[in-house]
Amino acid sequence: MKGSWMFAGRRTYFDQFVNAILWLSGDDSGFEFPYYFYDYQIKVNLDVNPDHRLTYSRFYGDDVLDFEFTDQSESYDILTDYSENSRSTFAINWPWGNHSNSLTWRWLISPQLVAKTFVANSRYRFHFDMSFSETGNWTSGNELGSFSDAFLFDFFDIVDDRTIETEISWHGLANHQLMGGVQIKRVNYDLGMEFEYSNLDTTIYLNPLKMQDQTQETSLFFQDKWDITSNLALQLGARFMDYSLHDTLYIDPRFGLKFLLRQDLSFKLAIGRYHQFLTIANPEDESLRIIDFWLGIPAERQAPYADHLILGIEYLSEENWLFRAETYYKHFENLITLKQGELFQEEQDELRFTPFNEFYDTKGYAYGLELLYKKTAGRLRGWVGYTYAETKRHIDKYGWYYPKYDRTHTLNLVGDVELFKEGSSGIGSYLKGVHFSTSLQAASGQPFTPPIGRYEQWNANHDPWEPSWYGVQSFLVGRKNSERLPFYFRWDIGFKQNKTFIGFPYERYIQLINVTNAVNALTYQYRNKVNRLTEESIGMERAAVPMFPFFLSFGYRIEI
Amino acid sequence: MRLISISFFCIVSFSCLSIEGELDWEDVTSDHESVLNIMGLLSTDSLVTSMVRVHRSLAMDEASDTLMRDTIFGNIVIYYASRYVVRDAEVTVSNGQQDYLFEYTDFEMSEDDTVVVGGYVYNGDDLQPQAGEAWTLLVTTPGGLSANGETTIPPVPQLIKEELPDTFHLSQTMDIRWQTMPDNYQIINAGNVLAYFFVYDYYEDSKPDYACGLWQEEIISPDEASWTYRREICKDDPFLDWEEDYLLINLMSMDDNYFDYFIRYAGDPEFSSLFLGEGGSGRSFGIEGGIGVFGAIGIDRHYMPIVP
Repeated sequence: MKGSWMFAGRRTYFDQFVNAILWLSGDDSGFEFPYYFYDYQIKVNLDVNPDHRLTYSRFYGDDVLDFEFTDQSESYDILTDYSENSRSTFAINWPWGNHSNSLTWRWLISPQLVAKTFVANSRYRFHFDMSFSETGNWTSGNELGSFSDAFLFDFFDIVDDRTIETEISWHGLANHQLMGGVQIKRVNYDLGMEFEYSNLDTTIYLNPLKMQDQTQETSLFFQDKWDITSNLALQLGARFMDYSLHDTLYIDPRFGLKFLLRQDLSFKLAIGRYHQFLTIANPEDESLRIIDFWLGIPAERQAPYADHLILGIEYLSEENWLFRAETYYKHFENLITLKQGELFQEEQDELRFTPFNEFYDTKGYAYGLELLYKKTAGRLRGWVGYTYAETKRHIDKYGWYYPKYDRTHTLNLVGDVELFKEGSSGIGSYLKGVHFSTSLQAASGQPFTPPIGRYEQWNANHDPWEPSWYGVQSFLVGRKNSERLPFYFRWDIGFKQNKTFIGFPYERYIQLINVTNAVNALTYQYRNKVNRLTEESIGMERAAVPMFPFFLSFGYRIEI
Repeated sequence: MRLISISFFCIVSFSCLSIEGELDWEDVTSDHESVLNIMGLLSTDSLVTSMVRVHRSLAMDEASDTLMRDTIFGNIVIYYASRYVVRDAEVTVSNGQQDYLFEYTDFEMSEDDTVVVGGYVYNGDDLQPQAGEAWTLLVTTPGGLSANGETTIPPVPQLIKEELPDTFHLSQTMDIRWQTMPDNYQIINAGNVLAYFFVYDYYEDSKPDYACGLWQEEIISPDEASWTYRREICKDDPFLDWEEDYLLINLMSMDDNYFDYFIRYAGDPEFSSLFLGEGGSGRSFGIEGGIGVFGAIGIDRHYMPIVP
């Protein structure tokens, strides 16, 4: 029996660093830096015998925002002879992240027949937990009493995925590699929101959002990779899927072709249909997305799918550089887009969170060209990539429009060079092993919906005594996502050097992020333009909400 | 068995430095052509005056207010007048038999006296819209903007007052009934008088919260006939004194335009942005040639003493 194992983990320590400085500086405010991130992964391989191998892998990662403020106060009003002592606490605990476990069993049944079975579980969750409480005592003259109020707010989304799959590969037929299998995937969704208010004698509990669902996908798949001639290979396959909330059997055909024009030059074609039973239900116009709301496709909605057509050509030189050009067209049907509306609605005397069950029918397409030049060996390594993409979605309400993350042109340049080789003399002997790396990205700005005018939206206050109507400034907007933010540009550079310290290897590095300090807009922010003399509002101004400014970081990475 | 042990511990940056420059603000321009934005309201109620507010939309680079200097009762008053407001429009409301010319008046000043807005009202006493009548609106401005509208006066709402108790007990429930309407939505509101005089300030938390649990509102669908009212659970305040308080009940009927604009789509902005605000294409209900609403309402009221 043989095996191997690996454990890797990391954690940000900025919180500990800040807390230590606060402690050393004698800070007694009780403040602690509230955020940290950690993850770890484990992998264990075990060869039970030459025919059986077990592999276990695990990943666990979380971002955690956790803080608590406590305040204590005493007051006395001499006029009413009223005194009060109170203690209030405000706390937020907000972890969000993923974890996954999988166990794979590979069985070499015969030299031509291999079976691979795995069971896997993954869980995505965020859980926002906020609480506020106030307790205390009061005296008023000869009377005395106590009070206690507590408010809790919970908001969570947990997606738990359990999969079992068996895949069998058979190489017993000349020029054919056959593969087939079955997969069962069960997903539990738990999306909820809870409020609780309590005082000394009353507890009020509200559960305005409670969506618990379970879906199961059962798939049967097969594929044949057929080497028709020495320079022509076909890949034929299909996937048959049953989705537990639908009565339809979904069939996804797949077709691939690879033709070697020369030994170092190949042509590729791929056509396929891909169904997906999972979607994100975030409002489209949200300015910042911190979390994704995952949902299974509801029973009454058709399953979204995409048809892909990809054509490519690839050249691999003897000097180990690769050139690849691919063009693609993708067509999307049955997509859904959440209708945006009031966050809370009153429904049958109950407060309800806007349910995630109203969607716009959405379709889309994307086409583009991708060019890649990649050098993977030698002193200078890296790649240059350029993408031209045209992506559009369609909702009856808006017609065709660019989705928020669309970028027409994207240029990426990534490089790494070893400045001084082993055996260099002079300064090179001190700087041997120093690598210079750079990364440059330039891209078209993302689309946004422009304001084109201002008006006052009429509002009504249905006051029982004196109803009134008033205007609130609102904006007339142009076609959805019809303008673009400014050009995106970011250039990072860095140096790193591998060293050892009493036998332990480590790496020291320095990184300069956004060295040109380019202001890249996440979106626009707006304000009234004011005449400083008269304070009249004379129009509006906008400025970018900037992403990363110039940022310098340096540190060590240690391998133990 | 061969074991390969690789432990990896990564320390992220322990120091960082960033340089963030000043934001570069630029003027927002647009070639938007102004349209009229109207809030026309015909009322069958004697306490709510029929009125038409005439505003216009502004381009992004247009001023939204202007500094004014005026003399009122011999005193010099300086204020900011809204440029949304159209003060020189010709506003005509008609029931097909008679035209009523509405005239502009400044009738609202915000609390800090900074912005004056106004609207158009009819100065005669013969404007008496009746349930079921169709009324039209025509607005024209010297600048060439125009819009027209149409609404149908809703039935006058009727609370069944003889079934209401003489007093409202804070700890009890009360059934409120009214004459049903087959085709119109209504809205019912309840509130108390003391809450007007002792306005609760959440941040001060020093005054008793008289409104707590009493101020409620309910949208009434066609054919709905009653509402059970009770004070909602509220934090008890030992300083509340209910001896002089009254409960107000207000039942309002509305036409479809009013319902669509102020109720149905009020909480459903077409566009919403954290950094800009809300907006959309500019909805209109009962208005053609502009945006806004031309609606009609009727009101019935009742009040009763509150008993602790």
